[in-house]
Amino acid sequence: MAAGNVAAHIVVTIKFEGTPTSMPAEAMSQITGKYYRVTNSAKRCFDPRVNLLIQDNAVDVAAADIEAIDYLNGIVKFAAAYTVVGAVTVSSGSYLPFSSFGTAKSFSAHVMREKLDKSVFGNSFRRYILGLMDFDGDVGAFSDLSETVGVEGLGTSLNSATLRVISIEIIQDGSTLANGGLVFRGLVNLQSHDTKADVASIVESGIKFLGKPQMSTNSLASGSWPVSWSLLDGATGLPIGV
Amino acid sequence: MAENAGHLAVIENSLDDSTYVEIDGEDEFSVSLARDPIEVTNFKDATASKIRIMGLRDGYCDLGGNVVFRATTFEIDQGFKNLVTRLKDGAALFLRTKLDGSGGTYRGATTLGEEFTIAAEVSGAVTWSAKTCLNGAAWA
Repeated sequence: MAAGNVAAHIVVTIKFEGTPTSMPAEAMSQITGKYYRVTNSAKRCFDPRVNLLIQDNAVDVAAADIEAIDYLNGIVKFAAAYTVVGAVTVSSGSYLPFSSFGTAKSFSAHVMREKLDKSVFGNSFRRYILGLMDFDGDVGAFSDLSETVGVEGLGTSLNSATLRVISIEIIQDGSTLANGGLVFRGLVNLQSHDTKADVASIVESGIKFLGKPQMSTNSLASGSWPVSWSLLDGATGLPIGV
Repeated sequence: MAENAGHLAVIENSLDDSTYVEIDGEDEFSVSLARDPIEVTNFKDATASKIRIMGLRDGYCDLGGNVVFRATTFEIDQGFKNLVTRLKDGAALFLRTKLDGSGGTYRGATTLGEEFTIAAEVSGAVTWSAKTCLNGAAWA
């Protein structure tokens, strides 16, 4: 471990999205360069099922002037050739508020890529390229989770294969996300839900989730980042790897 | 690390094979090197034994540790970010190590990020782990 670091208490909060809420006129602010995000931190997750319109100085920004939209973190990246002239706002769209998952006691989030062998005659070492991306994970908790969290209970989401958004916040105790920390967010379907009870112990429940590709009907979605997960660095306000 | 009980290992990564950084909180590292055994035994062999040639070389590196934020700023460090960045963009991640600490020379290779996991139990640390594969070069 490098000098100057501390291994202090870290706080984890697991959340799922709640009722989609209309966002008719929402201020955005610059993170850095061409990146802008919703100013209100409680509204930084666009609903990918709802059309999103961005205005600059009260004028609609053309799709061609938007290079990418990060729905999970409420971030828009303008095209390199585009210059922002005034106040940037979301003029039409919805955000997803998050509700804490109070009984959680464990989690894992696992991101992977397929390894494709491209070795040819003449190679003495195997050569690879990376293929499709995928992710999965699980959350463990005390008590039955089937009707817990958000606009739709997790049990109902499993039955209906509804799109859900999971948010796992990892923050140094005593700090805030704005000062640093990590947030894993992903568009997911629930894969399984298991509950067990024993006369001598607490009811325990767990869910497994699978990543779901971002397939928005949004007219601005063509340039959106194709991945459906992100690991946000709170200190910079941007997902790692952007 | 039994032979180097002082835990002096230096394990670094880089996006460009120029600027190398350690990962705060890293506490596990392994590298595995292998060759594909290809059996070529045929009917005319008189040895009554399997005959093999050794095929392509291959290998992987596993890394892991605890999530550690920097003091005061609470930032996550660049070495951690490098792992996630390369998993996302599929470009080369350069690894190098001095498992005996400051002495000796670096050994390393060009790798690709295959997997990244972050996990925690309520009574334990928040941990991360990563798996990378060597890509077209020996660990040297």
